[in-house]
Amino acid sequence: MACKQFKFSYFAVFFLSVIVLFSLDGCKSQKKLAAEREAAAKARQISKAKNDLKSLLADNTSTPEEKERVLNRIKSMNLEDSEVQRLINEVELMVAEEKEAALAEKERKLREEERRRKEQEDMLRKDSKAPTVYDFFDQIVGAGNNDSANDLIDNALDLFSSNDTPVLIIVSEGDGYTDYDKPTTIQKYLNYLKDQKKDLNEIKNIKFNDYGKIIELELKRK
Amino acid sequence: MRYLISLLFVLGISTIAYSQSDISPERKQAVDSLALEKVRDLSKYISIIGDKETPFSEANRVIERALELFSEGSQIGVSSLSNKEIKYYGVRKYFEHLMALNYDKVKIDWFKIEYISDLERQPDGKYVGVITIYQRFEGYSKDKLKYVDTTKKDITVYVERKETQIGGRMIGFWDVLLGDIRVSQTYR
Repeated sequence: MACKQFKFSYFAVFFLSVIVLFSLDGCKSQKKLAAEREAAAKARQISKAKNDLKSLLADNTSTPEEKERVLNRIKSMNLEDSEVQRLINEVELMVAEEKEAALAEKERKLREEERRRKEQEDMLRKDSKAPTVYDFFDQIVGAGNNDSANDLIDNALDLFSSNDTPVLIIVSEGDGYTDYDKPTTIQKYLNYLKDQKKDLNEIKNIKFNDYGKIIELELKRK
Repeated sequence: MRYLISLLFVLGISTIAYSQSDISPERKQAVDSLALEKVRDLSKYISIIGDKETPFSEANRVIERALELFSEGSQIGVSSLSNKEIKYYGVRKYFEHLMALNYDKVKIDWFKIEYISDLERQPDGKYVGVITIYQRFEGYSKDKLKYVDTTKKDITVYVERKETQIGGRMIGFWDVLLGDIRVSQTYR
């Protein structure tokens, strides 16, 4: 009887050991599988990042800011790969250069615009016989009666491509914003000067068409 | 420590006030001035419309310009020293009434134009405020002053930021519209 009990216990211990061994091995396999999956995902990320970075280097259409957004997304992944790092450095350098070039171009355009505006102003002021839009504004505000103000308005409108030529009035501007009053038309603006007998604005910019007629007038609060 | 807490409290309040207005104080000041200017413009239009020397066609043109200053459905209150009741008219009706007043000469002046309630940002993003004005009205018949009164009026002002495309570029502008004009006092 004791021998039988011993045999049974021995058998049970053996059986349990086999189960434990198998499950330990199973855990190990699962961990290994997870690690393999993680490694594969990382490899895919690295491969995609490399492709994206190479595309950025070859991209001639996106703005530096757009490129920077993609670059920052890749950088945030913190991928530990020497080639990815090298490509990131290259793209960073390229974006910095492109930003600098864009800034220089913007400044050049501003200078060019300012030069053109001054030329237009000079051109308008040159011929003292022909009244300019500047003269008309002053004269309309100071007109003695309704009829003379209306005559001046008719003459002033000849300088514009149409009575509906837009007039934009900047009420405030600062770092990154320009606030306008509700846009109006030149006919309404000239009548406003006549009615209100005040001119709160100065001319900031004038756009002409090929026939020398004004197609847009930009004013600014004095 | 107490000073630090007070400072933090003040800073907190300023931050809340700033975030509620959503625009910088400089921009806000420009919007305040713009709205005041619209009220001054209306003042001039009213004096032109009421002036008996203004030709009929001109008065009608000015009415159209003045109407552009108001939001739809706005009303203007009319009071008189002889009648306690304040009557409210639609804006066009008010201007037509003003144009047809039975005097030989009418003089209307607005003065002390100022905010009594600052423009505040509403949950829908619009700014609403109240500007008060004093109006002196003089009605003459055969060069004799027949009626004179001074009225204190409160004008609700609505300001909304809008965008429109002009010449291929987006223009951000402040659309200022006047609402009801309520009479708050009338005296000789």
